[in-house]
Amino acid sequence: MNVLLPLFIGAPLGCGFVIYLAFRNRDDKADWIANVCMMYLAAASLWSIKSLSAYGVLTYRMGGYAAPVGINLVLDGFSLLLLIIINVAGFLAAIYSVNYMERFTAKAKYYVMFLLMVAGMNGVVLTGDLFNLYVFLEIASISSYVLVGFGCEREQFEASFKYMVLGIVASAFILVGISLMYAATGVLSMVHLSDIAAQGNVSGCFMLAGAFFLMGFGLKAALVPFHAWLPDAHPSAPAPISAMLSGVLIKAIGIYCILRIFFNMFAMTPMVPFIFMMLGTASMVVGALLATGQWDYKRLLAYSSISQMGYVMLGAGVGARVIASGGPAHVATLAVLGALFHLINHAGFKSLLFLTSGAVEFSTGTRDLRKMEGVSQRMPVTAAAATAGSLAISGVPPFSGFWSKLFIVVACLQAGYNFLAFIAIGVSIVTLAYFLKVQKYAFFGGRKEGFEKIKEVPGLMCFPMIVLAVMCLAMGLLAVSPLREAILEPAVKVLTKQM
Amino acid sequence: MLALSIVLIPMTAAIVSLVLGKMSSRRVRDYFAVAAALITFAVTLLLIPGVRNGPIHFKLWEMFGISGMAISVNVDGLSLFMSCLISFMGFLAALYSLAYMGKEENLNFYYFLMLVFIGSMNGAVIAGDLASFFLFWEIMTISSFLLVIFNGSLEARKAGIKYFIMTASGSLLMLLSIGALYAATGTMSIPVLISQGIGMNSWLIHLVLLLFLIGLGIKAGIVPLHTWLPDAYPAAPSPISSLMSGVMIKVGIYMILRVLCQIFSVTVSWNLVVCFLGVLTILIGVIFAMVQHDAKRLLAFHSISQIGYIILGIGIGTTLGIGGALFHVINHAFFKGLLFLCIGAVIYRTGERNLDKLGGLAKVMPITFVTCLVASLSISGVPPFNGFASKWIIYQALIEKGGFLHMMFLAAAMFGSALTLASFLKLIHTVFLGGGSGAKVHPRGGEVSWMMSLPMVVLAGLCIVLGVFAFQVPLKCFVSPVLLAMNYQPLSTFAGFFNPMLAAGLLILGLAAGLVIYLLGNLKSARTDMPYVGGEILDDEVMSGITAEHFYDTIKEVEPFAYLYEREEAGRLDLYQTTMGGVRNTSRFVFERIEQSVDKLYAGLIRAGEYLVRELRKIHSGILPSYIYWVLVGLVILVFLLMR
Repeated sequence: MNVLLPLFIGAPLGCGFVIYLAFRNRDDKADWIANVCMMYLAAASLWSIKSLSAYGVLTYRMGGYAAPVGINLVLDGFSLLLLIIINVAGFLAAIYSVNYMERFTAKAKYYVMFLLMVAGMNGVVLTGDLFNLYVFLEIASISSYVLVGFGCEREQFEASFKYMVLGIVASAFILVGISLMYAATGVLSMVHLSDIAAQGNVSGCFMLAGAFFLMGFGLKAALVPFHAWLPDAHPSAPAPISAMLSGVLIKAIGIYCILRIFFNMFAMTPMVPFIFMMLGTASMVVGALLATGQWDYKRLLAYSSISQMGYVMLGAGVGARVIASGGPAHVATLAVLGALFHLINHAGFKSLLFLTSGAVEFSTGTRDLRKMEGVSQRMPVTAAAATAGSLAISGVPPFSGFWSKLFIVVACLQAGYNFLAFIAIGVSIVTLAYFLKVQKYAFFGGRKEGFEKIKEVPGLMCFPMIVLAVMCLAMGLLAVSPLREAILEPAVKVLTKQM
Repeated sequence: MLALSIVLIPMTAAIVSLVLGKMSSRRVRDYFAVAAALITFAVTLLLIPGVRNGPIHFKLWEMFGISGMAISVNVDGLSLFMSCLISFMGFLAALYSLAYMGKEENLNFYYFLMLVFIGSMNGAVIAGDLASFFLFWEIMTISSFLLVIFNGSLEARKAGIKYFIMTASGSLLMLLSIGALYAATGTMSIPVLISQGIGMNSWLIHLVLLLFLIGLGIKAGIVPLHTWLPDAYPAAPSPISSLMSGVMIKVGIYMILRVLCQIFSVTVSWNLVVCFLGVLTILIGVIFAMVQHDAKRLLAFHSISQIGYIILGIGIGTTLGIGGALFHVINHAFFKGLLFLCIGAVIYRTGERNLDKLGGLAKVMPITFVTCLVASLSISGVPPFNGFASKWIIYQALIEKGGFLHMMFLAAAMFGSALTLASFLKLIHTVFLGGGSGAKVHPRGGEVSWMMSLPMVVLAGLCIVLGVFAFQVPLKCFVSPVLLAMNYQPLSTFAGFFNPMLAAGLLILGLAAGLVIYLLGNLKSARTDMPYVGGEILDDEVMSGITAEHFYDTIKEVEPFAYLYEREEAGRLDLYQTTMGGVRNTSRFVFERIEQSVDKLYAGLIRAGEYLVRELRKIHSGILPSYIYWVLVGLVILVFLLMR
C-alpha cells in the first residue's frame, strides 16, 4: 500500500516528462497520456480512502532513511481529503481540456505544466517535512505562473507577472519562516515539530515564523488583504486551469498549509485563531462585495473564491479558538468539520462554475455578462450545471453548500460568535444575489442577436460539468454516516489532535 | 335507501351525463339529464307515504367512531317538503334548459353541474347531521358558483367571485358555530339536537345563533347580506337563475327554520329581530327593484323582497306565521321560477334583458305574456293568485300576534306588496306592452318551443290552482303535515280567513259583468285624443311611451328613497363592496406606509453596498507595487499581533 504514495508525485511528474520529451508535438498522444495518468491518480486517491481506514496513517520513507535525514511521505486523514480534491478535480479538468484546449497551440506543453502542478500539489499534501513542502510548493506555484500566462496575450502576461511577483514574495517569506523554525528547533520533520508543539513552549522565533507563514500561505490562499493577485490571475488562465487554481490550488498550497502548520505544529494560542477569524471574515465580506460589482463572469467567480475561502478560515478559526480556550470538544469538531466540508464542497462547485464559464466562452466567445443573454436556450447542459453550482455556492438547500455553511454558522453560534454567524449568513445572501445576477444576465432572458448559431459544448466538456453538478447535490451526503466517517472524520481528527 | 337515492341518482347521473356527452350525441345526453331529473322527482314523491308514518332516520357511517359525529340521513316532513320542491323545480329547469341552452359550448359541464346542484340541494335538506349538511351545502355553493360563471364573461366572473366570497365567508361562520354547537352539546345529529333543544342561557349561545344566521342569511339573501344576489342572478343562465332563486335560497330558509324554530328555543327579542330583518328585506328589496332596468336584476331584487315575507313569517313564530312562510316558500318557488323562465324566453328570442330596449312582445309571444302576467299578479299579492294567499296568512299571523310593533310590520309588509305591484306594472308595460321609445330589439321568431313553454304553463297553472284552491290543496296537503311534523298545530280555523274560491268566483263574475257591459254599452263610438295634463297636451316623449329608465323617476326624487338610491349607486350599501373596500384600503395602507418604507430601507442598503463596492474597486487599481504594500502592511500587522 505504502508504495502507492510516491506514485502520487512520481506518476504525474514522470508522465509530464515523457510528454515533453517524446510527444511534444503530438497533441493526441498527450491527451491520452495526461488523461490516463489523471484517471489513475483519481482512482488511486479514492482507493486510498479504503487503505487509510484499514491501516491508519500511511508513511513511506524515500530510500529507506528515517525521519531527520530522509524524505518522508505521510498520508493521514487531512492529506487524504486534499488528495481526493486535487486528483478528482484534476481528472475532470483534464477531460475538459481535451476539447477546450484545441483553441490554444501547444496543447502538449499545457499538459506538461498541468501534470507538474498536480505533482507539486500532491507533494505538498503528502510530504512529511517542511523543506520538501517548500520544494513542492514552488513546483506547483511556478507551473501555475506559467499556466496563468498560457494564453500569451497582454493581460495574461500582466496577470501572470503580478501573480509571480507576489507569489515569490510569499515564497520568500515562507522560506524565511521555515528557516526560523529550523533555527528554533533544529528539526523540519512535521512529526517532530508537532511533538515539540505538544510540549507547549513557544518562543519568539516561532511566532515570527508564524507571522511569515500566515502572510505567505495567506497570499497563496488569497485571503484579504493578500488577495490582490487572484482576481487577475484566475480569470486569465484557460478555464480548466482556472477551475484547478480556484478549486484546488489555493486550498492545497494555501489553506492546507495554514491549517497543517498552525493546528499541528504550533501550540494553539488564542491570538492565532483570532487572526484566522479576522482574515476569514474580511475575505468573506470583501470578496462577496467585490464579486457583486463584476461583469466579467470569471472575475466574478474569482472574487467569489476569496469569499468562500473566508468561510473555511472562519470555520477553522472558530474551531481553533475553542481548542485554544479549552471549550467543548463537539463545538470545535463541528467548526472544523464545517470548514473542511466547505473546503471539499467549494472544490466541487467552484470547479464546476469555472468549467461552465469556460463552456460559455467556448460557445459565445465572451465572458462579459452584459454581452450574453438567453444562453440557456441553446446550451441547456451548461445552464443547468451553472444553476446547480450557483445554488450550491449560495447555500440553498439541499445543495452541498447549504450543509457546510450551516455547520459553520451553527458552530459560530454554539461558540458564542453570534455576530460572525450573522455576517456569514449575510454574505451567503449577497452570494445568492450575485449568482442571481449571473443567472439572469447570462443564462436566462431573451435570446441575444448573433447568438442564434451557438451550440452546446462537446460531450467531453459536458461530462465533467454533469459529474460536478450531480456532486453538488450528492456531496451533501458527506455529512451523513458512512461517508462522513470515511472522509471527513479522519481529517477532522488530525486537526483536533490537540484537544 | 330510497331516501338516499334522491341524492345518489342526480349525482351519479351527473357523471354519466359527462361520459355520455363525450361518447354519444348531445341529444342523448340532454334527454338523459332531463330523465334523471324526472326520476329524482318521482323518487321524491315515492318517499311521501313512508314519511307520513314518521321521520326516516338512519346512520350511514360512524365517523372516526366518535359518537354524535355520524353521517346520517333524516327525512321528516320539512325535509321532504323541501326536497319535493327542489326535485320538481330541478326537473322543470332541466326541461327548460333543453331548448334554452340550445347549442352552447361546454354543455357537458353544464348538465353535470346542474345535476350535482340538484343532488347537493337534496342532500342538504335530507342530511341528518350538521357535518353532512355542511358538506352538501358547500357542494351546492361550489356547483352554483361554477354555474354562475358558466358563460365566462367578465361580468359573470365578477359576479361569481362576489357570490363565492360572500357565501364562503358565511359558510366559515356557520362552520364555526357548528363546531361550537358540537362542543356544547356533544352531538351533530339534527334530530338529537331538536329533541334536546338548546336554551338561550349564555351570551355564547346567542353568538353561535348569530353566526349561524349570518351564514344562512347570506345564502338566503337577507338584507343587508343580500348583495351577491342582484349580480349573480343576471349572470347565470336563466334556468339556473330560476333554480337559485326558486329553491337554492330556500335551502338557507330550510336551515333557518330548523335552527330558529326547532334547535334553539329562541327568545322573544330574537323573534322581533328576525321580524324586523324580514320587513327590512321586503322594503329594501322592492325599493331597489323598482328602479332596475335589467329584467333579471329586477327579478333578483324581488327575490330578496319575497324572502323577506318568508323571514317575517318565520320571525313571528306562531303556527300561522310558520304556515304562511312555508306556503310562501312554495309559492315563491313557483312564481319566481316562472318569472325567470318567462324572462329567459324573452332573452332567448331577443338576446336582450335591458327593459329600455324591449317592448311590444305581447303579440309575438302570447304564452309568455300571459304566464308572465299571472306570475306578476301572483308575486304582487293580487287575489286570487297564490301569492295573495300566502301573504294573507302572514298578515293574519301579524294581526293575531297584535301589538304596536307587529302592526307596523304589517303596514310595512303591505306597503311592500303595493310597491311590488308597481314594479311589475313597469315590467309588464315595458316588455310586453307599449314600452319606451328607445331602440327596440325585434324578436327572432315567435313564441318559444313547447319544451320551454311547457314548464311556464305548468307553473302558471300551479300559481292559479294554489291560489284558488289554497285551502283545499297546498295548505291541507303540504303545509299542515309539515307543521304537524314540526310539532305545531295544523292550520285549521282562524279569524278572518278568506275564501279564495268565493273571491275567485266573484272576480270572474265581475269580469264577466264588465265584459257584458262592454259588449252591450255604447262604448264602440269612443273618441280618441291625445292625453293631456291640466289642459296641456303632453309632449312627444311621454306620448311615445315611458321607458323603463324613467318609469319611476319621480320616486327616485322622493326624499327617503333618494337617499337610499344615491348610496346604492355609490355602492355604499353593499356590504361586500364596503368590506372589500376596507380590505383594499388596509392593504394600500400597508403597502404605502410599511412596504414602501421597507423598500426604501432596502434601497438605502443597496446604495450603501454599491458605494462600498465602488470604493473597494477603486483601491483595486491593478498597480503591482500597491499590492505589495498591502502584503507588507498585512505582514507588519501579523507580526505585531503575534509577537506582542
